[in-house]
Amino acid sequence: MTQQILVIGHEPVIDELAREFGAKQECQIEYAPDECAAIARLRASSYDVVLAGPNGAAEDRLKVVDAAGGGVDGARVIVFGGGNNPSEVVSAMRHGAFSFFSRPFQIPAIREMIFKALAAPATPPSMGLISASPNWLIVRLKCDAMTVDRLIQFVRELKTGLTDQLREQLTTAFREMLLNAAEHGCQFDESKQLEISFARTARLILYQIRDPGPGFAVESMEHAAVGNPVGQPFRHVEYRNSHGMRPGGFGILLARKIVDEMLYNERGNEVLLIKYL
Amino acid sequence: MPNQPTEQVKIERLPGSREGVHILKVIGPLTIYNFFQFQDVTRNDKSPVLIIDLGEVPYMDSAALGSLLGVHVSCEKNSRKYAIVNLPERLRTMFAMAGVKDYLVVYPSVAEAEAAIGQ
Repeated sequence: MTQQILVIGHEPVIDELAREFGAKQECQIEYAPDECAAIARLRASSYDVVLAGPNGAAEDRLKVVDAAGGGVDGARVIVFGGGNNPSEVVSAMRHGAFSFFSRPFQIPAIREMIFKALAAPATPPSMGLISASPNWLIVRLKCDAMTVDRLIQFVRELKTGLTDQLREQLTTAFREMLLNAAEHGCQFDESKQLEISFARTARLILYQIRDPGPGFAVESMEHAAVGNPVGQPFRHVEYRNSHGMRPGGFGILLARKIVDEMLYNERGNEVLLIKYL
Repeated sequence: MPNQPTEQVKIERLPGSREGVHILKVIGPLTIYNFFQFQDVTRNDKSPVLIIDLGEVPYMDSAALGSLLGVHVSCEKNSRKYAIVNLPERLRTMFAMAGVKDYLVVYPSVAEAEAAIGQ
């Protein structure tokens, strides 16, 4: 069945992606000039995904999220923010937006999120917000890969005022550790929950990730690069191959190189990542 | 690993300028959700010289890096040659952080890789 995408306003990057999804994925693309027109269309027709462009007011974009949400025919709304505004990110999460991107818009990441939104159920799992302050976010989320990926993008948008390189590196560290928790701590079992905190102060960024698994001892990990002896960066590759494990094992090592401090709790099922600014 | 809707990574197979040289041009992010495609293609390629062009890979993750190291280990074991070319800065930084930059065979371009290892 043809999937429907509603695009609000005109923004070159979004228009380009919409054309691409129209041509390559055979989605039907419709355009609304502004949020008011979009809300009217959402009431009259059914859409799978809404791309809420950045040119209107932030509160109007949230009205679109409200109008699209819930119900059997709910549309997944990807919100595009005009500027770097953590409050808008948190509001979008609270209102149930599927994802959020601010300028500069990165086409590969947005494309990836549109793919996910098209495949998502009409009412995707909630982010499980416990505290939603722009500088201190606490969520308890279902351990499914799509929700994890959505959270990574929301948290990425909260890290304003950093260089692009640092922002991407911190996103890498957070993503690797969160996926480790989801894969090894929860086996991607959707009945299990992950608890994540993100805090931003004037001097540091902190992530806390807790999974319900049995934990592990970092020093006894032959399957991870962090356990390789000096000068033998491939030893864990051999170990993983011989034990039928998928490629990888660099997550902890990469995260350790990116952040300033990394601490595990005694059980090994909870990790703190700290980056000083 | 759960199935995730994701952009399929595009892998173009191109002939090298000499017999026995295969070039794989990878296009798109390479991640835990799609690296199996890359792994299958590289495992099935038995050419004496394999050149992997990563110029259009905007990012990769730990799993994808692991599959790239699989190419390195396999080529070493089987006395085949390989090279990674057109490495974007973001991936170069990742390789350095992972401590593998100085071990992987990297050249700036296909032409330079062919000149160095393609005989």
